Amino acid sequence: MIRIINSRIISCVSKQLTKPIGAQLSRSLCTNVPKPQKEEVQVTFVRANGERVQSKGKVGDSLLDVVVNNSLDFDGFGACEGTLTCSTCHLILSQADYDKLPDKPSDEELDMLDLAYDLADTSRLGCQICLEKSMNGLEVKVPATVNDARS
Amino acid sequence: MSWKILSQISRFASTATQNVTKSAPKILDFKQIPGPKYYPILGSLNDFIQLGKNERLHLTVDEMHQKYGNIFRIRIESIDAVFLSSADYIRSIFAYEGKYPKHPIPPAWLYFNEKFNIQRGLIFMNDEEWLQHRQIMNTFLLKDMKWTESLIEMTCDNFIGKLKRILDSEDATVVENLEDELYLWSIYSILNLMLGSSTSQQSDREFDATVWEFVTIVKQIFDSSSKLMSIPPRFADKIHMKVYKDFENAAQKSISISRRLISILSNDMQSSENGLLQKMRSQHLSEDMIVRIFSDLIIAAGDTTVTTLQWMLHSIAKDSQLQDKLRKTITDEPGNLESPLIRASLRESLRLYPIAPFVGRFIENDATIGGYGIPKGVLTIASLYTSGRDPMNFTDSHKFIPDRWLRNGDQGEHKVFKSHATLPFAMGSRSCVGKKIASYQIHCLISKILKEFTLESKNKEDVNFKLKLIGVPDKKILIAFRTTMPFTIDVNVNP
Repeated sequence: MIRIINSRIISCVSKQLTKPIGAQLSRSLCTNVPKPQKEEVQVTFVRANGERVQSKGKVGDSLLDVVVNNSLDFDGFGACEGTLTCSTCHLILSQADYDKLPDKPSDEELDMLDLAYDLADTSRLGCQICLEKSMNGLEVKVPATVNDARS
Repeated sequence: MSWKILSQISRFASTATQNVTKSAPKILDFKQIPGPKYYPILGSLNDFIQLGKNERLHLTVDEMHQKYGNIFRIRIESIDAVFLSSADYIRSIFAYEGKYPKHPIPPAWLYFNEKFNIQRGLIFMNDEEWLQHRQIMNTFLLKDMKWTESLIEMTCDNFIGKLKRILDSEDATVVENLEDELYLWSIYSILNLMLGSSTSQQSDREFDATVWEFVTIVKQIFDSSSKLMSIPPRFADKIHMKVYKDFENAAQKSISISRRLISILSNDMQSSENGLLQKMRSQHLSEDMIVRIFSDLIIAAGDTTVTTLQWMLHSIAKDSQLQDKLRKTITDEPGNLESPLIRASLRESLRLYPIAPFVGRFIENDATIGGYGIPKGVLTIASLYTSGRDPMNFTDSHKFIPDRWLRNGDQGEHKVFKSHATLPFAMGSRSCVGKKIASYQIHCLISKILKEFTLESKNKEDVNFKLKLIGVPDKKILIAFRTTMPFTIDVNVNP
């Protein structure tokens, strides 16, 4: 468990390191050790076949953490465990949600998104999006993977 | 209510039609994949006849792609292998690699480990053992990188200092032994990262001699194992071939020197909590396991980083306009070396000179690539030399144009549409574990070199890509280093 929390903090912190200092400060609010009242954020994942999977995570969790912690069965999702070396946690957001995100994708994230299947203008990697209170009710699309296409 | 039912029906209908359209294209049999004929009577001679000399394997495979297309099948040492050169097919390799990706390893290395029952590090591990140790190393090498930056910068400053001393003392502009100097820089970088502080402040002559011996040994391993690529090692060993003996000696020495270095770092030097050594210990890795992982890490990192740097310096030295542009992007701020153009130059360099031009994975489950059914266990190989230079994937594909990778616009687009045609670090859970450290090392050294020097290529003939296990220059890289600003104050360099 400690390992999971640790890696979650690290995955969010390591992302901050590439940001200017201002962005880091505002961001650190979401990555600090959880406050006493752990606020939950509802997230709905919509599979390529339309199936809706309701889930929740805590403020500061990444969307990859939400998938992992809730054992959601998305084939091959998050293969590299948030090390930004694959694009299997690719998610598609609505334009409004995409615009609301506090950070634009880093070059490293964009490099990996370039490798994703079914890339859209509002694509992001789940490991790079940290939940905030204001994101409650967020809905994201899980694109079909090559494994879906095969079956 | 009725709307809900309707929408469900239409959703059902749409998935139904999807299923129909998906099952429509017939999957062709694996045996139908084109490729050179295999003559069972010739056995392993097939490899030699078909694949020819190892140092031009990338060209032989390139010719086969021209002849058979972007997917072809060949038997190598009784293994079914499929070479892929289309960007989309290459991406499929990693989509089918499974939870515990397995990669091919030079036969001589495997034979050596088996013969002496030697347990190795991440390169040779598989399954749960691999995943468990890879996850530990991911934390230190890919997730939280901040700790590496000042250590890498310090090692680069030392290199620049040494370069200046060499240039002054020899009163020359071309560094004769640039490759050796880069090797030393690369090995010291890893040692400093292991220790978490500067080894050079605590080292003595004996330590430096050991490091130098290590450089020589690492070079020998690659030299001899590349010569062994077309000879079955068991056979070479049995008939006491010199090339096998050389390899065995080098491999044995590399392990004993790794042990000696780790022991010096542990016992005779002040290691810091910030170093990889203590970080690994904090994860309760045994001393033996630390040596195993360390010696693999240094073998995988040393020559690949040095060779990539040589290709990159060579390309930059040939283009004075690019140098000026690069120099303008370099800031003086310590700890902020981020320059998109240097990043782009590294990508471009690895596109044209993919030091590991064949990245392979044994497919985990039955797969479909390029319309053909690929049974599980088949070795699928990305032909990165071919795909990276294919005009279908990159405009002016044979030219060094870092600009193509620069991102602009709201969505951060660049001018490349098939970036998965160049995956020099591979992708996915078994991609290069040292990717970020190596990239930062290169980024840092290039920016420090360009800040101090103007480079000019002194190679009169074209330098070509030649395989020696990795893709090295076929000629010595000759670069003239001239001080950019004659009156700059020397940076604080530790001797």
